[in-house]
Amino acid sequence: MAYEVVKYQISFQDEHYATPANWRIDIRPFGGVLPAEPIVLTPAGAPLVLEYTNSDESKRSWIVGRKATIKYVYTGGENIPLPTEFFDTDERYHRVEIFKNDVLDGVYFIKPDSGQYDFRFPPFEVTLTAVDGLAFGKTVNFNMYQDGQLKYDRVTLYEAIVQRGLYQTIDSTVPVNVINSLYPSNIEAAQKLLLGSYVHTDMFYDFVKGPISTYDMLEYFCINFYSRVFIANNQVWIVRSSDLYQDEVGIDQYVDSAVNAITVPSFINVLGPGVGLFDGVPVDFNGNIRLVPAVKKATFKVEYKSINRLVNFTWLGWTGTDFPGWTRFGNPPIDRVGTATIDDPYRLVVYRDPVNPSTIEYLYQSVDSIMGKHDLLEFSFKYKFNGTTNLTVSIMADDPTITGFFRLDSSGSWVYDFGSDPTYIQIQRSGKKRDGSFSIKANPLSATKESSHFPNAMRIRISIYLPTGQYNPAGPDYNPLLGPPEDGVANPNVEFWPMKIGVISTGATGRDLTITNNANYSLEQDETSFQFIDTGEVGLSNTLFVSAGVPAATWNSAKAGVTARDIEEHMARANVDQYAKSITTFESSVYSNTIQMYNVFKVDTIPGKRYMMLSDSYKVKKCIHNVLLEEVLPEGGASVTYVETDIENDN
Amino acid sequence: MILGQDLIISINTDQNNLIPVCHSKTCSLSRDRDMLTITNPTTADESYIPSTKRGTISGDGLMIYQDVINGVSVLEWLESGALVAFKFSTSLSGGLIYSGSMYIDHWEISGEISDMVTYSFTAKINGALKIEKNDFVKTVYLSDLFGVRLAGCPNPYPVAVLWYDGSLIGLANNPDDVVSQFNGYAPNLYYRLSSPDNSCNYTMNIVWNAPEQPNWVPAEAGGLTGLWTGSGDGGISPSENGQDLITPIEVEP
Repeated sequence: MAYEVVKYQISFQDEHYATPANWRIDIRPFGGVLPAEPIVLTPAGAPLVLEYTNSDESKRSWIVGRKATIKYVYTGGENIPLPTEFFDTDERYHRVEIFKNDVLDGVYFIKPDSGQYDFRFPPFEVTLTAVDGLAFGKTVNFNMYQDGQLKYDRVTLYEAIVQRGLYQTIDSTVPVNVINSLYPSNIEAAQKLLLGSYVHTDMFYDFVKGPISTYDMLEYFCINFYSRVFIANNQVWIVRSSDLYQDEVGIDQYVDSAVNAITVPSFINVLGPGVGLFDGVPVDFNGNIRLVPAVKKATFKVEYKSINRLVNFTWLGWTGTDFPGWTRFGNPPIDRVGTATIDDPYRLVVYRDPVNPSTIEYLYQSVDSIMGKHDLLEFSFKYKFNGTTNLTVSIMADDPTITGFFRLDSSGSWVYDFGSDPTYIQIQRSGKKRDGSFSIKANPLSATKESSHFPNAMRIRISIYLPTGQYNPAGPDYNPLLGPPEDGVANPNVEFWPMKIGVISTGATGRDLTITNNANYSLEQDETSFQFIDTGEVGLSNTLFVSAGVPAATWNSAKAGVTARDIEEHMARANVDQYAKSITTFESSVYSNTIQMYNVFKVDTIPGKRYMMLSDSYKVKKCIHNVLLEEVLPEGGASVTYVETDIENDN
Repeated sequence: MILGQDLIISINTDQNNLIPVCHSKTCSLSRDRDMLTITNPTTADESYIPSTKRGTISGDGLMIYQDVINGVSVLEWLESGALVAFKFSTSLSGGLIYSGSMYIDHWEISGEISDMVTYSFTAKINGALKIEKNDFVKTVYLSDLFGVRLAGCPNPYPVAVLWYDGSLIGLANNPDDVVSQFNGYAPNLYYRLSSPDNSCNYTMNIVWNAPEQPNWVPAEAGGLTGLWTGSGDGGISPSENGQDLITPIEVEP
């Protein structure tokens, strides 16, 4: 089994003079030749540095990964690994487990691209760099699948963020601790946030590009909840910054789909001059207090994202001749390919009919009463040409009781059509690249004289036509003037990946938020894109839900005096609340072997302020943390002006 | 032996067989520790947190090639990078011992025409320094106050057990009595007797920092004379059955 055996081990005791801790670094390779007993490596002078890096030096660095720099001595002795052993493998080959006093403190993976060793006769130091599971979030996708099929449904935030997100790169036994006091006012009684709130997986999936990364998925959540994610003590922490100002910080610990309130002893740490009297001691006279400017104005932008209205859009249902939910007009030659795996999903195949290519045959699906005249329609799919070069689809909007209909053209406009000169979406390709995608956000219907006849709820019909182009050389309609079929395909066809048709009923493609600090400051924060917005619309995947189909109402905070608001307004206000005035940072070397990223800090000689940790470089053996702390301000502390506006379609 | 004199260094790569460097002229062990300075904006008086410890050892001696451990051995350890165990003590039979292991990091040989060849070395202590405070263990015997073995040994009993200043501790009919009287004597802070062979010889455990290291246990053959206690007419003598002491009988010391 992978990672089963500890191949190398490095142990040392830190130099805390009162309460020294024993540290152990176990390195478990994915496989290879493994020893019966761990091979003990000699720790270098600074054997371990643990770092939380924060390039922005801001509370808005949402995901803070942790890096371990491990140094051992290459003695040249038997069984002592050459540094190249760690650098000739991929990023997940060497798993590193770091134990503090025999308790697992963190799991890391050696990055082969950032090691270092000396060019000299042994002994010399070898530097290994390992990163925690969060760091891999950018390259690992949200798990959108179940048994090889798309999981396209509303799921709990726990399932989305933790099970389908975090646990893709972090052991699924790692507890997730959440500090958050924002709750939908209509959440089921006694439910906790992650288990009582739902999100549609569409939010994390694109029908053309596939699922987004788990890193992006986490960031979606963090931006909206003004929360940070990091790993400390081998536990994931999701911490809403504003809640750190509370005297009683409630922590919900999610383990294995269950949640319990936990308490952390001495959650609030005090830094001051004296070991034993304080949780950490500033040392070396390198501390400084710096002021960070207040935010005057912050802007935010969300793009609405609709939920697919088609049935059997993943081509899962297949009778051998038909896709239930879809109708064949004429007798189009269709088929299904794929093995229902992530790499090879089911796909619709539409063949050129070699016998009678001129007949209009197509596959269609009608979805009744889903769109109003002012709604926007989203349409996207992925395709691949095999031996042909074009495909034709048609999107039609009509009220079945009234003559006449609209058809969508490739520019996203609706064209009124009596049936005499139909408008289709036709996609043609030449050259070698035969796979592609189509994605469009359609304008609202034009309010022409004719269209004004239509009632608000209209039917949408999608039709997929047989491809034209190269003929089957074996068929009776083979035209030698057009040359042989391309790619050597005997039966030219088009493959269709899952398709999406969704409706955005908000009359706009998205929404802009602007929040302005009423105090006289000047800094404008860069525009932030966010994803979750309380529109009350069940057809949007931007909406958070409190049960399978009920959108979240306004959100309450535990902070007394904070008004119930939509989630996006809480978000916007948090951005100003935390920088409502010029705040201080505290940067210093701190002597301790107990302080943690999740702690709230007070500094003995700076009364009245509380801080959160932005970054830390922890020289473990010397018990020295180089920390950057930033002041936390209370929720609702700023006087602000808040404005929301629509974003119009720019098609 | 006088406490605090004659520092002896014993070294070898085999830590179970440390050998005194007999030809050593001087040896030294030093230890120091880094200090982290506490940042305290409320005072100008600095305070510290103890941090990394380290130590060095140095010694020099004559190049006596017949010794098991000699100057060449030290050079060979430097060449091979051997981990060398060391022990510093002022006695080979116990007492205060500083021990640990070291790497030789410097070696030097020098000599003048018509003079002894000498060498010196320095070393870095590898890891922790161990400080042991062991008892000295000696064989002592019953004697008069001047160290003359009591007549009648190995069976001079009964005897009157005395303290080194001549004070009477008590009467003893056998070695066990001597042990319990001597060990139970309140002014006795440093010495513990045991009687391995039931004779007039005893094993004495002497605490590492005892100011003196006696070679005998003073006593007087019991029942024959009383004892002068140094306070005029305070002499005592045993009763007829030897179980009690009776007073006073004036005697000369």
